Amino acid sequence: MLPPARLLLRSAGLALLAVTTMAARCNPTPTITITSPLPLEAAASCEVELRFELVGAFTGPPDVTLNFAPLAVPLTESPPGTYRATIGVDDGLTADNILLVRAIRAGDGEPLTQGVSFAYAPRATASVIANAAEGITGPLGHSRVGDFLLESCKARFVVQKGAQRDLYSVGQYGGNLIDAELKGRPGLDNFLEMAPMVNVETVVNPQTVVIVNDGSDGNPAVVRACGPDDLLDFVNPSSLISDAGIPFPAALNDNDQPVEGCTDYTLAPEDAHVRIDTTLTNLGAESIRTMFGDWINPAGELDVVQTPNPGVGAGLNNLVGAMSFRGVGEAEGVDYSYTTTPLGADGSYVVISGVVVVLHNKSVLLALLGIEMGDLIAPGASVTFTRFLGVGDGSPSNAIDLAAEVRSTPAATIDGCVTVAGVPAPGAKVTVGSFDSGALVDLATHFTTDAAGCYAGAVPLPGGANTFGVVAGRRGTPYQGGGVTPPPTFVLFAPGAQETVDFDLPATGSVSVTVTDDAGQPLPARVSVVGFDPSPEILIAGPALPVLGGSTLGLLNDPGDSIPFGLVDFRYTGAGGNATFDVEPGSYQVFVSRGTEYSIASQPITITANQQAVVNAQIAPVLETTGFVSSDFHVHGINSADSGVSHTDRVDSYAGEGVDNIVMTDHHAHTDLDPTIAAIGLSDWVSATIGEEITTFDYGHFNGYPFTVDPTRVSGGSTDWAGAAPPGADFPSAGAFNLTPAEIHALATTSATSTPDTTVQINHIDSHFETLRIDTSLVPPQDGLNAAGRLERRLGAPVSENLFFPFPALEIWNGSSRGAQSEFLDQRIGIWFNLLNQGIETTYIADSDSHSFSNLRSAGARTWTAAAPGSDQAGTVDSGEVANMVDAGKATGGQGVFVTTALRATDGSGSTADLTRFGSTHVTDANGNVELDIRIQAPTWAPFDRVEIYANAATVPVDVSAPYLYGAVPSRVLAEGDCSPATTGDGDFDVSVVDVVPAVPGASRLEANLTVPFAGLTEDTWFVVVVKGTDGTCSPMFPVFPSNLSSASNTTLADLLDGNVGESGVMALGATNALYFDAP
Amino acid sequence: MRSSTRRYGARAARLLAGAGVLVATATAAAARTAADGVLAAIETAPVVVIAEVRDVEPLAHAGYRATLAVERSLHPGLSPGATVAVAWEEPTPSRPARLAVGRRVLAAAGPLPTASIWRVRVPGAEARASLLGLAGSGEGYVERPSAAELDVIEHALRAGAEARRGDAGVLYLSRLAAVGQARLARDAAVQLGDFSQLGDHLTAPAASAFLDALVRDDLPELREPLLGLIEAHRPEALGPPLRARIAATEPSVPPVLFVALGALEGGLDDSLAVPLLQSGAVEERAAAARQASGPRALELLRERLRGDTEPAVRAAAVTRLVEIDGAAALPEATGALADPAPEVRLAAVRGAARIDPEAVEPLRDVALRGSPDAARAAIAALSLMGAEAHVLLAEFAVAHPDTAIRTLARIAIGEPVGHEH
Repeated sequence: MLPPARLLLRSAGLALLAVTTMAARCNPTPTITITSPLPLEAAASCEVELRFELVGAFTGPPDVTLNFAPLAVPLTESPPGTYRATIGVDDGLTADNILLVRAIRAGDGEPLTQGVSFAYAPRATASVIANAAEGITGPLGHSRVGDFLLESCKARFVVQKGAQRDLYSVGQYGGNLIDAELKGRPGLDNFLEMAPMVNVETVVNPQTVVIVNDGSDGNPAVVRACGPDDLLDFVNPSSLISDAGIPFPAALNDNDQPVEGCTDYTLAPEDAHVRIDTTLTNLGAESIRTMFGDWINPAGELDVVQTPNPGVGAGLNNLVGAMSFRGVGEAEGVDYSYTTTPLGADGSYVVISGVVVVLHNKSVLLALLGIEMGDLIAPGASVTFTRFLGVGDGSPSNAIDLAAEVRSTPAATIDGCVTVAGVPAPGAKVTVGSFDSGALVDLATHFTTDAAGCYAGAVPLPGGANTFGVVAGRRGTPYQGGGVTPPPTFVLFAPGAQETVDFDLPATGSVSVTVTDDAGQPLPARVSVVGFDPSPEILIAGPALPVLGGSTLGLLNDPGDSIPFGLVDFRYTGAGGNATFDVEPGSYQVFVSRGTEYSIASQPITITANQQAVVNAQIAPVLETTGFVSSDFHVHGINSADSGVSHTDRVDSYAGEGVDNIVMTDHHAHTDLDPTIAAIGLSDWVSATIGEEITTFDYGHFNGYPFTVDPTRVSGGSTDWAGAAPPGADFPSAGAFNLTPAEIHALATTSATSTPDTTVQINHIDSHFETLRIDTSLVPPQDGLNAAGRLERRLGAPVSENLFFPFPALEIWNGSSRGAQSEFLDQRIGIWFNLLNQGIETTYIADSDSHSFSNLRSAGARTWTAAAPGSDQAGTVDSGEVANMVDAGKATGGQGVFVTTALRATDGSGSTADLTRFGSTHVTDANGNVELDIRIQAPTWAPFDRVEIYANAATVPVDVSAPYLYGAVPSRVLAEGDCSPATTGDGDFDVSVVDVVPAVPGASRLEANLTVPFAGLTEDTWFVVVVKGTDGTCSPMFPVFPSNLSSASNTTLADLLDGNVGESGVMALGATNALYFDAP
Repeated sequence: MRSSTRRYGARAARLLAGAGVLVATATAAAARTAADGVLAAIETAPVVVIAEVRDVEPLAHAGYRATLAVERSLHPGLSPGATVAVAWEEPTPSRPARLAVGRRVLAAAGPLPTASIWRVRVPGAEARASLLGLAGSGEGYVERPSAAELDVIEHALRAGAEARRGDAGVLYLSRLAAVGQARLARDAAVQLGDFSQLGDHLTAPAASAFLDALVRDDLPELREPLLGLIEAHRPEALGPPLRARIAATEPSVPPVLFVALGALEGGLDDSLAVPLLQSGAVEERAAAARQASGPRALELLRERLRGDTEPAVRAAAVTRLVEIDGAAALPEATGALADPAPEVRLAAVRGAARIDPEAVEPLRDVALRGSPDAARAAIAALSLMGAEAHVLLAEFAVAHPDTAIRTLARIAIGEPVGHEH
């Protein structure tokens, strides 16, 4: 039996024949000839080429229908009379098609019609990537020759080849899905990896990957990856739960089950999502119980949007519905969807250390509590679980659509367009959901508008017809109606109905800021717009969010990485020294800054609709830092599991914050920023060092630098702190253990990607000393981990082996906030001093540990290391020298303050200790009398008034019952007085104002030079100096360091600009490394 | 026309199909489709034979080929003594071949799959042409089929597909559930669930067979799906034979029959439930606890929950108390969160979670003042509840004095845990 379409054609064709014949008798010239597709041709590709010719005179353009609907794609005419179009997979094609061309003959107005019937059978393909050009590209495009490519009419996915180990997030083994892109949208891959989870702590370790179906039979293409279970070393949930005081179920803890897994990745010809089926087989003689699911780490420059949820952002529950990872910034235009088919009522997830672990069939809580056991698999039997991973054009609605489709949820559809004063608004956000008293309480779906400013998708209606509100917004643009909240448009959605909601947002304004230095040259800097957003992002007040310290959900955006309070927006000016961006009509103050070493400029602006405010600002370096280079030693970006900052944003931000050297320390990854620095023209303004945060899950993060990049590995050459083992044997029960801290140091400094200069610091040191229970007050420091505790951390070292290792450097101060400063001074500084007190000369490091972009953490603490002439400028930084200076302790840290010290003998020997490149940090004096010279510099926006000197200082445990964190007691304190340089003689020292660049307004610095004598020293003594601005006396450093400013006491622009004394914020702080007096 | 509307056209068409109800695409996952399983394979395959496995040869990538010597064909066309070559793949490489040499099997076969991997496993086109694929993605086989199984299957195949959608189908599936080996019986139980009007097709013989399946000692895993069918359909035809079966088996009535009676009638009245709850047999107490509904039985349920030595009884008791008494059973449900047995705590968690939002405040008390196990279970219960519970979880995530509870509450509200550096 012919399909209906062909029956129609047959009857239509007869009629056409009659018309054509009649026309030929009257006027033989005008004809329509369809040359493609050919009649009854079966199109196996994803697109059908339409080509036809009109010969003779016709009136008006031809009318073309496909399956009796107007052709959805435009026709092109070239040469005259020849028409072409490419009909794609979404343009109305079905398995059997009728295409009709109709044209009106000139003269008599008679219509001529010609038709063709053709089949459409697009194919998906599976193949092995034979050359690199076939791979998927983008920031996280990791496909290599030998990997497996699945390709449909819409999308491409890459499954990595098997039998490999590269410790890197959830992707330590091969055989997993690593890349995905929409066809026609190259260069956007922001998906890192997902791995089938087995029994919580293990994953399948594929040893074989094969093409099951190459797609040549017209069926979906299938790639299969098979292997045993092995530990996912990246995480260790059992220690996390145990450390919280909850007994972890033994059945889930490092349990080597007799399991083998195969995962089929299936792509249908017209799909943009892969169906993923993992089958686990019990190879043992006894029944086993196992959990299953996924470890997922999209990792890229992505927001999170989930349902069910009362707003836009990461879920306020742990239920697995639709998960969308939406591209933002440079990743706009791509999104990833994840969903499962419901296998049980309890499918849930938890986010651990930046990665998502989904339990398909169990409640995470019930499983972790041991209340619910895994599924039973009899000997020889198998169990299969299914989920879907899709790639889309950047709208989170793609995930909602996919979940609705695979779960057969009733739905309506919605479409519409967003304009700003009549102009299409790409990238606008549209939220559909339930509103109660004007507030969103349940998100139904969420869109990002496309290049035409339009949107379309499903509105799931699991409970049947429902009335939802629809709102729209766009960053830097007023809401519809100009109010402080977007007014919802309420629509009754019924299953199967199609609704259209359009928005026209009011016109907005913009600002253009040009920044130059004291020489008038363009300067990379930060432009901060201080004030209040007239149309602020609406945060969801949701379930008890205030007690969490703030909302984690937004009405239109994921507020996960939000701009600090008091700033409406900010931009970096880049190499061109200019930033231009939309700002809503209103009054603001523009600030231009470039970190600690520069002055600032500020100017009020008033923005009006459709107008651009222009600001020309000049700032200059005001600190004397010759002989030093500044580094941020702890920086994350898109290659880290828990960071989504693009390389460009990273470089732009550090160049704009005036940091000379970015030590890029991604988790388990070696990242080289040099190509990006060169590409965006910032080589004269910032340098980069390749580092790695060697990230054990539960006994510390170890920061190595400099490294090189191993191009053969996706990670770039990560340090395998977990220790490789044969497939199926990576378990403590099989003798496979993690490396001890000492072993990690040895490996990091001798690996194939290390250099002769490579050094290692312990990051955020509490995560090391606390977890290993190392009491640094003991001589020598000693860990307190018993055998069970060691096994819990997969450490095989016997209790007799001290896990303490004297790493060269300790990151004691990491961050940009008040909290980070408090951690440094109240909980960690004493750990360092305990080591100094027993002669373990360790260097302290101040840096940011920046993972995000918008929160401006990159404008955090930094460390200046001594440098030789010629390598003490951005662009000339010698990474090896930086590491050597860290080892040598020739470094000083600060946020707003640059403080250096010298320790001079007074016995006439001329002996001096200092922090300079070619000096010594040790001094001796025959009489035990030395003088400590302290030079303090700060820009005028970073006032300081207190100097603390620590000399063989006493330390104080934070908790005497758990003596792993320590504060310290200063040996001497000097106070300036009222924190005003204008007032002299009111304290132990005065601060002067030095006009550094008179030609540049405000290019001055605060400076204090102190000499403090220490007499009668009879024992070796170390000296450390801390300089502070006192809270309540000095102004915080807003907006250069904008964190933590009180919102309660700042409700107007004038409030924000009044100095903010006593209104929280970040205070100036600096601290030196130690200088040592050696007793004669 | 807007580009997004065009882009969305094909998907919108699917979304709108079927009067507004989404229709899953061919690639959409379903937990089970009609094409899955041994029974569907037998019912739909063009070749169904009883045969002896002559040889088994491994192929590449976990594939296998076997020769079957036909003893008898259930469809015309193959004579006894003929040989059939079949191929299949194991789901994982190390799993042993499902067919063993010398084994008598019922095998269903069809065309060899067209997936390209079969060109790797069997390179020659002629060689592939001589091969059949074991139907149902390899599931189309039954080892050592019994005469009873074969009798049922043969009758069903002869009846035809149309007849199998009616009374004959329910009879066939019920019988297969009663006499079939595990894979057949499980499939049969699942397929019974495909009948939207099961009660209309449950004839007396089918009801009898259904009860036979229910009391199979060798396949206790059949009970839950079959009891679920009873509860969902309440088939009247099952009542008389069920009561007769109970009467006939006194005093050793299989406890599952009481559960079935309760499922059929919406509960067991005191006259049945009370003596069962007082029985010395664990299975009887548990069965009664699942279905008790009378006032005296409810008192006994509370006693059982407090004092029964068997976790299965306590778990059933707490579940039933919540089903019947709702919020009035809150003290029992929250009390059982401290039960030493995980399965009782699980039942208590689920039970308490059903009493939403009335259980929120009692669960707060347990989380603040209960034993560690109870407090943690309370968090689990709250995690399964609605908005009010999530308000409380958010509060606990920040302010609960116990680190363990804070961690669990964070997990419950989707907050990241672990080290974030």
